[in-house]
Amino acid sequence: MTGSPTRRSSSVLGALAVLVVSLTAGAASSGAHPCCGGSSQWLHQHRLQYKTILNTIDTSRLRDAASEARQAWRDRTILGLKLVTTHENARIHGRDGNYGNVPWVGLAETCFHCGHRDFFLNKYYNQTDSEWKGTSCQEMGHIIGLDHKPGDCMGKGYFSDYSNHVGSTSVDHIRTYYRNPPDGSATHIQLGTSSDKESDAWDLLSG
Amino acid sequence: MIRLFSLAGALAALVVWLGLLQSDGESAGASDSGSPAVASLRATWAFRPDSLKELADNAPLAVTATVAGVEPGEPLIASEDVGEPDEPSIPTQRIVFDVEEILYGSAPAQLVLLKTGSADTWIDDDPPYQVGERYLLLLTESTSQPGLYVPPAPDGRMLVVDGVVQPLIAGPIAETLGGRTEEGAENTITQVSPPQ
Repeated sequence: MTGSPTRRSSSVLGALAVLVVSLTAGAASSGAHPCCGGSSQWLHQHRLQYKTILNTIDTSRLRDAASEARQAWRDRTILGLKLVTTHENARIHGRDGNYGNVPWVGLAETCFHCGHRDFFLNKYYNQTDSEWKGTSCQEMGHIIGLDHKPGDCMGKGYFSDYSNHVGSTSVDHIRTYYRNPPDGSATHIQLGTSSDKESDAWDLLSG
Repeated sequence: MIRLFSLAGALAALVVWLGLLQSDGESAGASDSGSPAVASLRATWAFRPDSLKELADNAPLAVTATVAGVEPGEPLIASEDVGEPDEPSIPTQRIVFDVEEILYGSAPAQLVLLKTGSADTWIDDDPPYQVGERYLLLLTESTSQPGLYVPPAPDGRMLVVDGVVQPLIAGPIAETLGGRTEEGAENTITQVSPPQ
């Protein structure tokens, strides 16, 4: 309490330096998450709120189907998929187009810790509204961290046991993995402060 | 003393900036750490055949061929959206094959396959081709890039290693042809070939 002004300044500088080093190390390590041994099954992005933009889907019935899929993920899981109408801060971008017989009907970009990801619906192929919902459901499921598996929309095109909906296994996986990363590392998602899923600060603890 | 406070101020600003760097996960196109992120592609396939016959009925051409070259292709862009400033494109590759044998249909001596993805980013069930690899391919012509070919389903691409067929995706076709000799698989494919 009685140190000289110079000594106090030096102490402040020292503490700040330690803080800088600490934060620098944290920032550097956040890009090298060891989760899941390189598997793409779990690709969480540190957030529970995935703002979603779908007005970039030009075809109304495809947009409606994608909107139903978004609502299903939002209502059934702990995640918030708030619908937004501008690109700013949107984390999931829906797209559609005629990409030809490529031969995929839906395509999703996935990666660790990405800022935002696109999914594409290929309207070269004819599908029912329900099938478009299932395709959208699977592509959004990939972006929020899930792999192909039987039982719901994540099995479409891969397993005979599939549906066009969000199933209970996917709901359980999301709840478990977002709270407890499967590699055993500590939860490091960013917690919000709200119980409102439409809020930017949607909170895990209320989920 | 003033210099010390200035230095402390600069350090504090740096701390704030680093804190923002840690918390900002919404910077477009980058990872949370600000470094380029490695992406992969996941697909919902438009068509998964229940039988080899169904696959052949949707593939007017079947060949055995060797990869002669892998080249970057024209990116896929929604035809009606050309010119949209924010429209992302989907990378493709052109896979050049030397055709060894035509099982049915007609094909040039060298054909080019259109593949979604790049050398760095690809669909999980459709990994990059390597020059020198041999394949059994059931193909149809591309609608978006005439003159090029695509498999009508991922099941239409089967690697041949040491004379044994190795499908790349599980399903009825893999169950039918996986582990078979190349000759045996070719005979089976020829038997289900569609009328020419």
